[in-house]
Amino acid sequence: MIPSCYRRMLSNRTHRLDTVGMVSLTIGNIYIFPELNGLGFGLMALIMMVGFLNFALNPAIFVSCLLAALLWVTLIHTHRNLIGLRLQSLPVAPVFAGEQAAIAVLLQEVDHRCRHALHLGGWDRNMVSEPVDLDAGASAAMTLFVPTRARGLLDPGTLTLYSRFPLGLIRVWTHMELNHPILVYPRPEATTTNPLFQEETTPGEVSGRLMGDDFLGLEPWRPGDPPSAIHWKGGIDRTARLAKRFGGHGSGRTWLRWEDTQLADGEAALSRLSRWVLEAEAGNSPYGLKLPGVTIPPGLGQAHAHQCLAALTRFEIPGEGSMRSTH
Amino acid sequence: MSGWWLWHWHDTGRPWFPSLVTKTTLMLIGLVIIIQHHGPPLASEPAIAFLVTLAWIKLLEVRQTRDVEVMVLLGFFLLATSFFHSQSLPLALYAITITPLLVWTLILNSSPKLSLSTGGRRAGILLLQSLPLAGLMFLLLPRFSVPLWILPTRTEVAKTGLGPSMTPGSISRLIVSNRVAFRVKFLSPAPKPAQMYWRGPVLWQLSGETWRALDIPLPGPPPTSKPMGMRWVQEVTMEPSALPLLFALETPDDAPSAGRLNRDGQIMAINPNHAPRRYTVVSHAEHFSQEPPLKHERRLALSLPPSGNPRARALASGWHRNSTSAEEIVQAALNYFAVHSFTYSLTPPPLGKDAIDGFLFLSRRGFCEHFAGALTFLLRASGIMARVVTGYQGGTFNPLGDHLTVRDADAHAWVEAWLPQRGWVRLDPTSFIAPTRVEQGIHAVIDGQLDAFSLMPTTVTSLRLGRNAWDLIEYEWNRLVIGFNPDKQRAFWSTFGLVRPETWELLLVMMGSVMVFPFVWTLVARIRSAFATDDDPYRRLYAQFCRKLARAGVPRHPWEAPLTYGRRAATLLPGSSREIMLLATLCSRWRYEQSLSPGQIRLWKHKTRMFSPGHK
Repeated sequence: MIPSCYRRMLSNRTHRLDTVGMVSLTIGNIYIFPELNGLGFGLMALIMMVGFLNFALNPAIFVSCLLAALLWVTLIHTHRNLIGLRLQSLPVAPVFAGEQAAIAVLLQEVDHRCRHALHLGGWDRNMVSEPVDLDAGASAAMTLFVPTRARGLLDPGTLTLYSRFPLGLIRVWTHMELNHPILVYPRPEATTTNPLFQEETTPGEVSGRLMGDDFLGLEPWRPGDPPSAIHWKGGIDRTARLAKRFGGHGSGRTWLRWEDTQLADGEAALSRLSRWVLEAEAGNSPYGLKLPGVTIPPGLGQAHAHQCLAALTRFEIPGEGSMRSTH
Repeated sequence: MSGWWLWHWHDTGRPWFPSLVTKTTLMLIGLVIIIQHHGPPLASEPAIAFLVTLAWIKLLEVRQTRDVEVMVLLGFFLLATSFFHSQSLPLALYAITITPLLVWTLILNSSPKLSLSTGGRRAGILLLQSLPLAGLMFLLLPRFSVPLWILPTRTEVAKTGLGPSMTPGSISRLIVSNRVAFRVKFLSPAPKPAQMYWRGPVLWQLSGETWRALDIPLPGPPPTSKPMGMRWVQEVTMEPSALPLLFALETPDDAPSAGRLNRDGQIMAINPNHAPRRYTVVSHAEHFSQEPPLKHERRLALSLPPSGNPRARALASGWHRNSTSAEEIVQAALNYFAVHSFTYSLTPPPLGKDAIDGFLFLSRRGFCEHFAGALTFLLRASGIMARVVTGYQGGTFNPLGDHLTVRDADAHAWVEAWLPQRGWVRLDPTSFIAPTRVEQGIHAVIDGQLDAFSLMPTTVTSLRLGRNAWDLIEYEWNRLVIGFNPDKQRAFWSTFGLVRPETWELLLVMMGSVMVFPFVWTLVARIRSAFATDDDPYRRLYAQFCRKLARAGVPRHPWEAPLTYGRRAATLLPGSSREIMLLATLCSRWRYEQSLSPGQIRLWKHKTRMFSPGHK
């Protein structure tokens, strides 16, 4: 209901939400305005007042006065529903393009008042979180699911925390922005292509059961195992001693390379690489990523996969413009 | 209908919403029915009926929260318009019940997770907070003394109560009616019951058995007169009535602003009595006037039907022949009623043709209208100008409200005769027959005769108390709420120093006070929180502790809990390490275990106040 020019004017009072530190909602940064039906309510009260004054129907005049007073008191109740809250954004888990990102904002109630029906809205009218109620002194997280379309750093723009409680006639709101963009990984290719895993064999390196970086499990200790492999926590008795085993599938390093996608379309190539990262991660063999100008050494595990996918997300396709920031 | 609707929902898994065609059809059907019943929806009543129809159709298509909000708004509007129909207290009680329900609906609608009870409490708080504000607005809203526009109103006041004519039985029928005609508060010493004659329609014309008021009131100003005797100041709160009259004790000095005193001594209302109204009027026991009646008045006051009632005429002409003065004739007429054994009865026998003869010479049983009619007939037949006056006599005193309630049951009829030296004089033949009627009220006479009627027995104390209490509430409602008009508003505000406030002044004060309201609220909330006995002293005391340590050079890191912070601070400020550790432990114990006795909390507060690290 708020014209967009007005919205823009207000946006310089937007909070920057961080994952550390809380922002307090004060009288200086929350806004209040009647909803369309609130204006209708007020207008009706006014018309009724004049109409019934004309006929000197005192009980009806009182009813219209009560409506006007109700609207006025609701203004304060609505305002108090938001003021004094503290906000903090929670880290947003990265998602693949096409999935919904869950923006979570932590609300903390410190004024010992119950708060009701708080909503978090995104840039689109229909993008609204489930309403959240807060007990006195409680805190709760509210989650707003936003759709993602393209890979890149998603800046969800201005989020609106609003409430229409108690009568739904007046809306109080505050604007905020996330200080940390949301990572939107490239959408993995739908069909499985056989990734052209390039084994990099280094002369002189013997594939051995103790080689490699990945922990595979425990085996009975055999004489000749290096002391560093001994699983000391298992006990020091020689007969029961265990050794840690490391390695991979033949300890081969798989390189996922930009050139190997053999796709002219940069986004499609990234999409394919994204798929490969997932498959390599599932295949449990160390893999590295080589993009023009970016090299991520081989590794395995969630953190590594994230590192690779993040690199794909942030990657600037040669010949295209600057870093993508998308909605 | 709603059963079918639910069944459809159950059967198809989704609620049924009518199509545009269905809705339009329903609306047209509603419109046709309304036009048949009320006429075109231009007047207020059919317009409201049409609105109700629309509301019903709207109910069928409520699917969003917005629809509910629209419905509630419509509900408030319809609630207010119902006062067009009547402004009675029961309707007000109905509105008082409905309003919280509507607010409750809005609250539950705006927050789906809210429990019913929390929503209800919230509605109560909202309403209680709006009430004083609404009251202030009500008192300050400038009133129109003249309506800006008038709707063709079809609201008709029930034709009960006194009418502009009188036939035998027309007043005795009213005796069983409990309807309140008006209530009076005396601002001067109250008159005795026998002095309380509330003047109503004056009946001049007799045709058949019926006495009628003039269709067009007598022209000319009221005769100049001199007030005499007791002076009574009355504040009258009148119920709606079909008669365009304002009742007052005989005889009123002047009309209140809402009426005009006519030649008959009645106060004619300028606007119809559609709603209860309140006015103050001053009466004197008598108004002495020697101005003789005008020519046409004389003719009217002596006119009789050309024939009928020969025995009564003969009796009257006998008095006329044997008397030397008008007083003598009047005396003879009154004596006739005193000497012959007349009975005051609610159920007189039917009289047939020549009803006055039948009454005077055969049955001799009748009610006040029989007596008044017969006496007027006799006086006119003997050449004395006379007229019938109807109205009310007496009333019931309500000790709770210190006011007098006059009901239809108190309706009465009496006679006025014009005597050369005294002007119009009141004669009440009933007072000869049944003196208690005039001295103690109608119930003293008729309670025994009323077994078959529904009149509430007034002898049961608890019933009387309940009736008096309800009467008082209704009276105050009419007096204070409905009777609140520009005059009362001015009087009210003049007690606050706003003497004769202008419209814009009232508006200004209203806007100002309404605007100031949130600021006062915020201020009060601030003050209250400043003086509140802290139920959680932790935040304040711990913040104070941290502030003092920070001043001493050891600010708290955001991640530090009370004890870790205390330990670090204690090593950095060894001089006050004992106090620091004590306070940190207290903070920690309260924060994480809530296990401090009131004594310990006092100690904690005291120590925090006295705490000054780094000064040793």
